[in-house]
Amino acid sequence: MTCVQNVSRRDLDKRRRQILADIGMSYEELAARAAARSLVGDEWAAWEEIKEIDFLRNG
Amino acid sequence: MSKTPGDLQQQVEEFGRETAELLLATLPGLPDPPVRILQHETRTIIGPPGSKPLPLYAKGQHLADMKISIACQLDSVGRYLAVEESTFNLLAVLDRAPVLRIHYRREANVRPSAHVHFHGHRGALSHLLSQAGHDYPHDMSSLHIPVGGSRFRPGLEDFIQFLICECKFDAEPGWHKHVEAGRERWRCRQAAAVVRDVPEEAARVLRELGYTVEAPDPLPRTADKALHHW
Repeated sequence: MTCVQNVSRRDLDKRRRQILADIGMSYEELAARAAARSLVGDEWAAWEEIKEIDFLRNG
Repeated sequence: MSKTPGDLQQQVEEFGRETAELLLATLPGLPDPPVRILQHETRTIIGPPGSKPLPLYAKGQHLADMKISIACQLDSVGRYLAVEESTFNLLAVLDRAPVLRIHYRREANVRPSAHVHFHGHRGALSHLLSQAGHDYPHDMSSLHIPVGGSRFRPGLEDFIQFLICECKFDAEPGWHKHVEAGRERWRCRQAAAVVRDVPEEAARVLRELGYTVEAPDPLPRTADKALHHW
């Protein structure tokens, strides 16, 4: 069963901070690596999830 | 008439259910459910639970992962659930990095709205991109290979069939009929969108087929962006 999980802005902000903490980078550092086409390993997953969160936050 | 928030919830749940059923009926060893729906106000992301990629097996061996992400919100007239962005990624277990990405972005301005990134190396390509003045000649994945624009882009069913038929990943018995049924749904929805883009052309073809079609007054506008953007 696929259910809709409503998430608050606070949940999204918390998850965003956690992702960045897990890879040990600021958003600016991660974005710069993505722009320079230098993402490796887990940075890919982190960048993709950050973009998803930012899509939801910018509604 | 605008849809209510309740309608949005229903559309999202239906889309999520179709996606989950397609994945479970085609690829073995997936978590159940294989997708979760995150919603914040009127925006929704359909993707794997916990944002963890889904495993892909070849002869029973976990060799790769797939990551799907579908970002949706109500369309500009507030009636239909519109996909704003989607990503279908094939990732190698070896380095957790993409091998292939099929990406769609509804509001793409400069890049093709639907495109493929292939992550590979080819010396001759790097050489010619370098000579031509490309910004990232060493990186084949920097190329956005166009695949049909907003209306004629590949669907998730195409990606799944690519994984099974071209890459030789394991499949569930009877997967093909589920892919075909899903593709039929997808293409009918896209055909409806095309009719809204070019209603006069649609009416002309219907008249050729023997239908009686009356034009409304005023005539609906043609969707120039959908017709012109790559």
